[in-house]
Amino acid sequence: MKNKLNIKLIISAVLCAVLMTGCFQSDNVSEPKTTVVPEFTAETEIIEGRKNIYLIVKNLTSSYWNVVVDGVRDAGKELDCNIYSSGSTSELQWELQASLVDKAIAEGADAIILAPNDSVMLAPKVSEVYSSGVPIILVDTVVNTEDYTICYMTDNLRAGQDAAKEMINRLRESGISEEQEAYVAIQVGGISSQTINERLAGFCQYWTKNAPEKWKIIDEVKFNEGDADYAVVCAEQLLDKYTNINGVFGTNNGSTVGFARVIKDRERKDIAVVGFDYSDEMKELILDKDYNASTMLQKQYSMGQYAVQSALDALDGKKSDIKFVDTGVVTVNSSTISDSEIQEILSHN
Amino acid sequence: MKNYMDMQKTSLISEKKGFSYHRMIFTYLICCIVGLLIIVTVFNGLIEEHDKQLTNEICTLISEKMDTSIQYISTTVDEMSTLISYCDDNSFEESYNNLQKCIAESSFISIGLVDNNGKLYATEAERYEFEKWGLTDIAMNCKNVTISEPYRSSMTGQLVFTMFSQLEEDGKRKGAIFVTYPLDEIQNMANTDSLNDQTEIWIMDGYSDNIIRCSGSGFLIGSWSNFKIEKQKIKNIKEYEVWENSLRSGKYSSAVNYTTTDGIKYTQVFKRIDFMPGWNIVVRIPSLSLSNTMQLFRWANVAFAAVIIIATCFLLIFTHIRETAEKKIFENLSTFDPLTKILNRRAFEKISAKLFETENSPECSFIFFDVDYFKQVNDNYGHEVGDHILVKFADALNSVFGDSGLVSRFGGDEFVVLIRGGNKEAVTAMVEHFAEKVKEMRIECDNDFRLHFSAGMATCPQDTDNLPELMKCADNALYEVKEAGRNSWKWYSDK
Repeated sequence: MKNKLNIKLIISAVLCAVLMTGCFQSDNVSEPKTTVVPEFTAETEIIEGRKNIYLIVKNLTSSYWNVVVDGVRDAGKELDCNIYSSGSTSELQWELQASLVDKAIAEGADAIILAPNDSVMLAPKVSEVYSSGVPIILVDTVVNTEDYTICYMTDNLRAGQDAAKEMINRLRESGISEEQEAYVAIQVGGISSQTINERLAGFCQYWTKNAPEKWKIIDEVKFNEGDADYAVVCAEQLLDKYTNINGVFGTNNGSTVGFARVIKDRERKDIAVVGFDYSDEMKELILDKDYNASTMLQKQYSMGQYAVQSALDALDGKKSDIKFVDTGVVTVNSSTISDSEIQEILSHN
Repeated sequence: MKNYMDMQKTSLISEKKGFSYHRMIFTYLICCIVGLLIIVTVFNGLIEEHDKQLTNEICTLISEKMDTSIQYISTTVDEMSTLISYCDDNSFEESYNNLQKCIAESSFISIGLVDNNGKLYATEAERYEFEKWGLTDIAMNCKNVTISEPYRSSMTGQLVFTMFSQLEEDGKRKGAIFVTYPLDEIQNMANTDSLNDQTEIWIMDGYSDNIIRCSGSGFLIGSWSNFKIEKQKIKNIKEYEVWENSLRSGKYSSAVNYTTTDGIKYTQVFKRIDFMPGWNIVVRIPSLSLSNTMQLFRWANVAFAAVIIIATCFLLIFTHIRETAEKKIFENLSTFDPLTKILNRRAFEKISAKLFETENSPECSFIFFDVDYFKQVNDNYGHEVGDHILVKFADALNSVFGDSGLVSRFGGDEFVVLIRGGNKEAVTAMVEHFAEKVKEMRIECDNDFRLHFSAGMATCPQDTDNLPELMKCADNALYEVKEAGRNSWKWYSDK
């Protein structure tokens, strides 16, 4: 009886195995997304007869984008035009931005300032607006087409290179000689972000060409997918696993904050921190001379201001040979923080 | 006694099996499954090899296209520099102005000159770019055609690269010409309509792991990235690192298969771009898209093999059930008497011999029964009545002694009983009880007659200690009963 059972079990197992081979793959069924297109808010006094400029940002809830809105609003007031603003609440919502572009056109936008969430997917929409004769100015991120009026953004490849240059300087200043081995760990935010990818590429490019041969980038790059808490975990994991780390580089604000928190908590004054944006955590490290920290500060306020000027110039029929303007970054560390240029930029943050 | 006898009966029926049928089925299944696994493994290996070769071919095609494209651009720049070198232009200024006339009809973005002192003959935007990306140094040091790393152009916002070629006069270097092209010029070479959805094509800097995605689905096409991020998702990192080392060491080409943490299998191939030093074309294709048909074929084979195995198993099981049934019939025929359904002589002798083999002088009693005047009954009333008597006699024997020992038809009208235990009183009581049963037995025939029997009994070890002797003793006792007029029973030891 027992043996018969065994045979039944074996046969069942074989049958299951055969049947399961047909079940290995299943298509992911994505649920249809329904999103409500947000309204545009008037950022300036709306006066009849003035040009209407519509701003669409990546994330309405981010302090970074608030500074861009400030720049656009101030320029609008200064240059005498009506400014409206709106945007998505997540940097993944490129479809929502496309709908916002359509809405702006429908509401009678004379020009659009767009911070595109996706360089590839939004290219056709940008091209469509540009071809219709409405000036479209890009800020922060470029799209994969030449059909736009002008783009103001940080050249992130260059910014990454600047960060690598600063890291090499920081390590040298901390007394590590070219003959000594040194290790730098990297943490990145969302891996689908063109900005982050370009910063990482710039950092690696500069490092490969300019860092002493014995100074290495640790192969394990941690990505936190924009999760602030996980950025701290990633930083802890890197510091625990690689005990000989001399420097850490965060490609975006979240990653940099993650590193800064762990470095401060563990009082690792021997580790150089280089990152992006001026968070409270980085400010604390930079102002404490015992720590070795630098951050790359973008000029998003200027991006907004330049964008409004360019929109009005385009509406006036002025043409420019330049389509892509690198607004650049400034390096903020304990030596440069008092510089007037940096103080001026920080005053908008 | 009963248990022992039952055991003996069972063992007699089930002996001669030789090997376990279930073990054979199990071994067969294991062999089939192992064989199947080997076939699938070999097949997978072949698919991987096939993927590598196919990706290699695709990569070769694309890299040849790219190389040809860069070579074409390179030749154009070289020819331009030769043309300017031999032109009668009086100054760089004049040459530069002449060059500007070409822009409208060409695919490049900008063109200009750099003299030996580093003076740049270019637009304001180009000057800005030269300063930003350190291009003047490349222009000053270039000999043959040299290519810059890709960078984002201020004039288009897209990735571009600049080519430099030195200008000569009377065999001496007098400066350099630069021509800036959109990266699209070579990037588009990687695009193919048929492979676009599945194939990822990058150009990759072998030193920094930086990549520019030329083709593929999703985001980041036409922009910088770094493979260090992708590397975090690779499971079999060691194999990948071998591939990576090949790329860094300047090898011409290499292929690798790997699986990512989200379970996607890729085949990845690089080929050096001869006209872009340090750069390689990398093609990455999900194995599934390459070998979809092959994989269907593989699973079809596995399914077919599984069906064959299952069918074979069913066939074996069916055959086994049939064989078992037939065997049971034959075993019954060789063990039981077909008329009375009790043990036949051969089976009885075998079981009782086994008892005497396993135990030395076992305590037991042996009884020989003989139906009195059976031959006359047979002659007078026919064989049917005779057979009926034998069946009823055997049934009565079985009902009295069946639970305590072996009951057998020894031949004709002779029956034997072997009972465990040598208590003569108990055995005598059983025989008496049997006699009562026989007495009550009614035989249906023309004349009503009474059936009776004679029995001879012997015990072991009192009478003898071996089976043949014991049987002989019981036979002698029976003989004496018969001589004394039948219809009685007697112990051998009762003289």
